[in-house]
Amino acid sequence: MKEDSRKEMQEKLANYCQAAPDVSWEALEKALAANKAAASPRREMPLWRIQVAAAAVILLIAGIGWRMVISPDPVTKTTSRSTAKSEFMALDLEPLPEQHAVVQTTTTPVHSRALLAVKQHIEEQAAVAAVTPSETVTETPSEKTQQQPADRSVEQRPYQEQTQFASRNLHHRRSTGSKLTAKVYMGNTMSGSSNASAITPMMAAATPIGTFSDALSNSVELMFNQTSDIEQHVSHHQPLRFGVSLRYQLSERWSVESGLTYSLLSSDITRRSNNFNYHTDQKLTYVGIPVNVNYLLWSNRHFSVYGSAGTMVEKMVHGHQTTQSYVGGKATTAPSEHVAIRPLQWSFSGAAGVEYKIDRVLSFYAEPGLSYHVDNHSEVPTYYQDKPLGFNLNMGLRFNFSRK
Amino acid sequence: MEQRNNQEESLALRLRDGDSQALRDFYALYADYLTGVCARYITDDEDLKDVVQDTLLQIISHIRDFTYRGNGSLRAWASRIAVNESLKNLKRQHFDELARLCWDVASEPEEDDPPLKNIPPEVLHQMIRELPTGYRTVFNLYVFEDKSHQEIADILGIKRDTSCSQFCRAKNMLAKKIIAYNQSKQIPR
Repeated sequence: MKEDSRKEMQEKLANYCQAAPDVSWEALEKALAANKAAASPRREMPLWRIQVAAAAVILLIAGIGWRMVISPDPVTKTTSRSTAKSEFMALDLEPLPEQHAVVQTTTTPVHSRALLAVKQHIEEQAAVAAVTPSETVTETPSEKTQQQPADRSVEQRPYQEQTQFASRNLHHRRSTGSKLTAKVYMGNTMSGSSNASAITPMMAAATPIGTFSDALSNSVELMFNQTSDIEQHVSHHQPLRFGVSLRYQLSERWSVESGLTYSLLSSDITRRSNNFNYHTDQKLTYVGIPVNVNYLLWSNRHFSVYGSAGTMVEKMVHGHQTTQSYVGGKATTAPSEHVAIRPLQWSFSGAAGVEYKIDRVLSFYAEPGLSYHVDNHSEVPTYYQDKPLGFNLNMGLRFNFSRK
Repeated sequence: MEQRNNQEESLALRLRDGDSQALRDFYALYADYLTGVCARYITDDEDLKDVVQDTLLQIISHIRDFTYRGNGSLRAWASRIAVNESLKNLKRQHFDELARLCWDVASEPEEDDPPLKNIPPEVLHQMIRELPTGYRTVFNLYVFEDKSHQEIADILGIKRDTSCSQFCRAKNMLAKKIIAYNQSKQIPR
């Protein structure tokens, strides 16, 4: 057979695909779990989580202590208790809206121009080829690749998920005339999202031939077009956030606040490829520390208007996802899996707030504003990365305390 | 291109970390292709199912041994595993047919390579699958895995000359099919 004919035939079947048979996901998941177990040391409870928990406890104790020092009268104490109760009631009463804030479908026809590397020298291949001539066909790939340096074993890459935000906030804040204010608010981030498919580039990355040459300079390179459709559908649920914050009045108009936020995100990700598709339900929990500066613009007996600007750093503290696979109409549910996002998420926000004081203690407010989320270079696109600048609408209840 | 590289590398790293979504991404991207590779060697549906399953298992279990060497290296690595698993299965299931290669050494004169231009990939794939197991295995290793006859001889435990003659027979058999197909489509040779 002439070399040209051989190459032509290789080229012809370079991208030949055939519908994959039903596989046992259970067995595959089991093998995967073994990988995870091997990688487990870095999945232990990290220091930051302990630190965040400690910070939360300190903040809460400090807040309560402060409250007690500042407002030692029994009336306020009673109010303080009811505050806490109200906060949780407020949280319980706020159901997560079911509607999807963002529904986006990306169809990615991948016209990838990949390099077709055809080896000319069979001898070269012996060094890389899995099917080594001197060994029997029963050997495992590990045996064959042992000669390759296992340099990757020390590398660690943050593994990130497609994220979306559902979050609520609780803030302690102070209104004019008081030193300390507690607030409960619902965070409602209205932000569009585009979800770049992580699959697309991988399709493009695939070489179209079963054999691999690491010496491209010695290879015949052929360009060809590889087309494949992978559809990814991501829907983000309404983002919500709650938190606790302490606000300190610097002057009549200026105040600063900080605290903790707890955010819950959930998203539905569906990916399809030929006869295969899977649906992932993902829930991520973030703990964040905001620092804001507020400026009171105007107030009367019932209303006040203020501007707010600040920054927040968030860390994903818990995440899990449940995936259902559908192969040829057959559904398989994989066990729930923990996920982790390691880099911190920084954001900056500016907002205008309107507050309605129901009484001396309780007020209702709405804070529309903009948030900018800094790219934390996660490998998998996140909600924040897709749409860094997003509109925010925080609404909620605020409890005001004064020294009388 | 850099981005693509990172993505392919990232998939391998996520598999190494036991990421369930990475497994599904891998399946979505490569399962059909790997099935196509295995199907060149394995013609029985049940066997094919086993081989694809074993291939995926081997890939997951040995992903730590994969060394990223640039664009497409993951797919290339995976397809080598697919070929290995196919050969393992052939050795188990079709030992007789492979053993018969040793004494079936009558050589034929080599015919010219017929034009492939008008043959759709799926038709060519099917033609290859219709070759007898022994011929097919030698043919696939020579044409698609770029193996030399000496390497094929070592892999299958046969003589080098046997590999040559088997390949020649396979090639002639395939050439006849291709010619017949071209004629049936009234395409001049």
